[in-house]
Amino acid sequence: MTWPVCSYTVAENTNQPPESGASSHGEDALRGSAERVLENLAELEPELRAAAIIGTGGETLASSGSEPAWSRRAGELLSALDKAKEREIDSAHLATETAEIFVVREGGMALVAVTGRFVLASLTGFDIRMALRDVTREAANA
Amino acid sequence: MLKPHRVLIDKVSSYTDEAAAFMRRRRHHRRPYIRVQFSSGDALELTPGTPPAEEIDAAATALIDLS
Repeated sequence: MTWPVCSYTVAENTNQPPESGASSHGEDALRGSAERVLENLAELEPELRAAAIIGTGGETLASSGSEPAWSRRAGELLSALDKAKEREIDSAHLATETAEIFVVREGGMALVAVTGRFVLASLTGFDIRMALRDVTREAANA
Repeated sequence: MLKPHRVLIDKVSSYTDEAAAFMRRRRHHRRPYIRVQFSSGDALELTPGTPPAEEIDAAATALIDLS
């Protein structure tokens, strides 16, 4: 169910475990939460093409990328960004001629999202950070 | 009073100026960039063509191609 708010819709967060039957504790719960967050983010951002949430150990918690290699590429981009100034980044915004990439890091986790070109950068960046914050909150509670 | 041919030349040159400005704005708007922020609050835009920017650009292009 979605609730219309202004010009876009916000997906209802029911805090229910995914239908895949993952257990409600530990890593399975965290993966379930990450998947739900990506689904909600996809509803919030119509221009979102693909996204992945990367855990504290560099493992992929959830990914909406169609290719299995997508998450690996997202991890490579994250390492390249960290390597640029030999410092761990907090966030990054990249634009090419065809798409934009948003990267945010929160509590050791990272969310990498590819969107169409010319999205509202500040709004998209905020939504992505809030989405990742939901997952880190879940991880803290687990 | 301006001569008629002067009016025509002014009009044409103003149209070409507008078109050139539009193309400049469009080119500037569409240029690729890499902006990075650190938790300390520092932010920087990586210069295109430098080795770190090239590496990031290659990783970003590979990611976009798969999306």
